[in-house]
Amino acid sequence: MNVSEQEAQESLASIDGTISRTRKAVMKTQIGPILVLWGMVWTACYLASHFFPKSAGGIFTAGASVGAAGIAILLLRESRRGPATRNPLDKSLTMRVNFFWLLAFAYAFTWIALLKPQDGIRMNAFLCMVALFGLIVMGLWFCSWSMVVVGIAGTITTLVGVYAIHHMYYCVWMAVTFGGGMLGTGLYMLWKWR
Amino acid sequence: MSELDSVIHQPARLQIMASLVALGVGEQMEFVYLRELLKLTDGNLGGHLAKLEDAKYVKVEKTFIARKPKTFVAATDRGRDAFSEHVKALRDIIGKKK
Repeated sequence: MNVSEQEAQESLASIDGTISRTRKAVMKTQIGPILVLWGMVWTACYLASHFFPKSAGGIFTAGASVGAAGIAILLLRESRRGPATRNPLDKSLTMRVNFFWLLAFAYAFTWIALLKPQDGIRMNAFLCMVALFGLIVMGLWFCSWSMVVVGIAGTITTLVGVYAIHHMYYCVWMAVTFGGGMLGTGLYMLWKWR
Repeated sequence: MSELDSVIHQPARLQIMASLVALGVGEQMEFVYLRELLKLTDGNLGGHLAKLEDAKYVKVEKTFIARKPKTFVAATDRGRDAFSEHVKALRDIIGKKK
């Protein structure tokens, strides 16, 4: 086969473009709707907690229930439509991922029960950081550096919220950075990664 | 020195292989999803997949999900090796080291 230097360059550019487009499309399909869902839930919960701080516990419990119901709907929709990608060689992977998240939050709530923190802001930051730590682990597990970066950036903004932002504005800060960050990232993926 | 692969070199097949190799080992992509991703028609994608399947570079699996027929495609180990060799050969042509 005779291929000119220019043709080879075009082929390599096509390969790089296709690989990048595929990875983005798969990530968008898998986590885009989840980020939008949880982003909306947490933004609403933080804003509601800012205006009704005494009801923050109930607001977040209700938010977590709405988010869990939303996830169930997304999973049901995917089971009817069929997945965009799947790996029959590793059927237990999804189960192990779900088990990891279940364990992470089971441990988090056990630690909360043991340590009995009195400060609602620190307890909230702790739970956010458990979720962000989980995201970093997922990133390392699936070789997704963007997840690791988002996890670290989220951790830093949460710590800034605890130590550098006046406690009165913690919920507004978290609504913008944590909830807004998730929502913005999810919408960006769904709109831009076509 | 690596050699170019005439089966893979065709532009549409090159994109198909690049998409499937971008997934993890053994990971499959649904036919319609791949078709929309690469902006190909049903017949075009089916024809190119048949050629890649003949060369044992991809494996096509038909199944049913919620009573609807679904087709999944994955790059085989042989396909991944051939793709990797093809990329090396292209890099050799432009004198670019990996």
